[in-house]
Amino acid sequence: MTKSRPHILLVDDEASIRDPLARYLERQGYRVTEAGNAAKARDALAGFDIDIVLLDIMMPGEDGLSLTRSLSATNGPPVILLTAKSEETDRVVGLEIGAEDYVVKPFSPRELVARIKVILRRGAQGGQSLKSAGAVYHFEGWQLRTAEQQLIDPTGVLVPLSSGEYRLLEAMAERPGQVLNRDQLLDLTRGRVAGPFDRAVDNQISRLRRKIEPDAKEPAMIKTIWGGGYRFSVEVTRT
Amino acid sequence: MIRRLWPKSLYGQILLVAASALLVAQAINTGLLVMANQARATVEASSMLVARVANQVERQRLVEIDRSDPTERRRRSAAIALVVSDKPVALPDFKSQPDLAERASEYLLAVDPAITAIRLSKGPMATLPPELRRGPIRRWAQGFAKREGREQPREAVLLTMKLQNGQWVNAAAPVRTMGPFPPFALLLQTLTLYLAVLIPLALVARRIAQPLKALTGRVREFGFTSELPPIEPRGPSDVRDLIDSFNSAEARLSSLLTEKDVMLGAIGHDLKTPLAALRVRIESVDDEVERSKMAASVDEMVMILDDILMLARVGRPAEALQPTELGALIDTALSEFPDDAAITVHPVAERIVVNVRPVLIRRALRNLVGNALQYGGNAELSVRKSDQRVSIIVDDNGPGIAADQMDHIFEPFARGESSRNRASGGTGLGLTIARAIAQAHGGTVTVENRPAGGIRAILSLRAD
Repeated sequence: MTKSRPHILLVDDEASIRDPLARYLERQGYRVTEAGNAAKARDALAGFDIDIVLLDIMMPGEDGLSLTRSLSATNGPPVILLTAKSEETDRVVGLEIGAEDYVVKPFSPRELVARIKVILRRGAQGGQSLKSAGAVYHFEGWQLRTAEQQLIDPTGVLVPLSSGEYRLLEAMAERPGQVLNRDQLLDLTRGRVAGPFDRAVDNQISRLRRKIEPDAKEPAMIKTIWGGGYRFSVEVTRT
Repeated sequence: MIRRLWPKSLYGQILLVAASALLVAQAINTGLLVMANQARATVEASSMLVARVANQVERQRLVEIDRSDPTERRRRSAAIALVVSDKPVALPDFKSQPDLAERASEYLLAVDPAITAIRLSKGPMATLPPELRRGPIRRWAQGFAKREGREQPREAVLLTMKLQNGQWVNAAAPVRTMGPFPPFALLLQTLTLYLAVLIPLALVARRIAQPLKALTGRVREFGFTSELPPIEPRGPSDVRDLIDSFNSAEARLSSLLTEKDVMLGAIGHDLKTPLAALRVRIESVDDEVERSKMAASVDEMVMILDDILMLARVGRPAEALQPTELGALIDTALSEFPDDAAITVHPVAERIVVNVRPVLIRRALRNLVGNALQYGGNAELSVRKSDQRVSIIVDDNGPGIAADQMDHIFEPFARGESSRNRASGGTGLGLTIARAIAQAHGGTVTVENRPAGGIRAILSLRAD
């Protein structure tokens, strides 16, 4: 269902941001509908076939989080939140209520477009949404909490992960037993792993192993499949 | 040693002082009792001596007690020795007892008013002349010691007086020694006292100490944990007043901080909106060099803004304390630097868990490592653990810091070199933020020049 011109709904009460951003997105080849508040956004959603919503959180009247929640509940289009707060808690809340991604203001419009492309491509491939809002994966006594994006070890202690490591582990926890090659892992981690890609995945796998494997030299959980990639060979339950 | 035994807490000190005071009082009491008993023994001995001598005077039988005289046998048990001579026995070691002498005079003069120069003294029995020491008095002393299971008397009272005929009567009697003070009685008495005094005192002290302890804990945690209910005022009214005033002070401070948070949030939002608009509009600039410079300027403004907001809010964090594996935390903080950054990590030998706000500590570490990379060109991390502290050490091999700048490095917007040169990067808030974060965890950040050159920054946290 790829359209030649994906339709973006841009919701922000600040015209000073909305207008130039809409023009920029149009120059990038998107069709853009603007809305100054949540009510107008609902009108637009009812009237158009919207592919993706860019949504400011802090708006007078109904705010962005509330709108995201109702869109998520009705299986609406994916949402990228635009937030002025960079604090982690906001991010957590945003993803938990069903947003696909977020950018912190002021954001680079190029980066925003890159993320729009990732989300649209994932939608076009027909894959279900990867976000696991609020799920907890259990394996070998460990817990991967997707709401907080935290890994808790069997003794209840937080083992901090970088965002790249987290996404890798989440992607593997969602697919236990499957062999995932580097390209798949890159794609599953939303193409946002920085650096020379192949090596970045390997580096992050080895960092992950240091953090979760009893013996990183003899990995028991994240197995290397020669010529193939990696396999998360533990039993995973999801709650 | 004494310093170690001395309790540090109010509770312990009150109890220890009270117990010691009671013990001293008990000791003084015991001493007084022993002394009183001794005085009584002296009075007994002298009374008995005077009575016997008076009896002799009355019966006109003032002759030297003759051992060979069978009639005297009966008197041996009298436990006095009596010698009549033409001069008084004078012994330097015998202390005159005027009170006793006075009482003796009253009694003796009633028997014979012609008696003069009555003197009563007390002294060591061993210094008595042999004729007064030996004989019945010694036998009595030995018998007494055997009978009572006590030490032989060591002291004696000596009575000297002049008769009308010019002869002197010298008589001596031993003073009974006191038995050892029964330790059991003393122990029981002391215990009773302790129970009667120390238990109520302990209860009162606890009533004071417990609310104080709660208050201390609260003051120590103040600023680290947000929104706890006020402490319940307990204990004596002084302590209650203290808790009440702390509660109101905390409430005032808390509302000030809330106000500050709201204001900073508003400022942050209001500044970021125009910045965000600017950032979007920059994309319409055609000149690529110009465009990236403008974007960099906006990024820098945002970075400074974020740092200021971070510094302002670090005392009131939204994040919860969480037991966190330190090695992974450090690793995660370092993953934010490029792979080719000159960072070495000495592996943490053991698994160390710290109770922290991981996002904040990661930020503090990032700032310290960023400083080391920026000013020293490299960063070398190691971890040290003691019973109370966990220290994360960040060393570099740079030029170090001049001594006169060392005092100022924690000040906001201070930089290693005094020029406010933006090109050197950073907002100048890195160390200030790192220290504020450490302090919000009850920890510290210290920076020193290493003897080998370069800087050592230490982030020290409580090991819970």
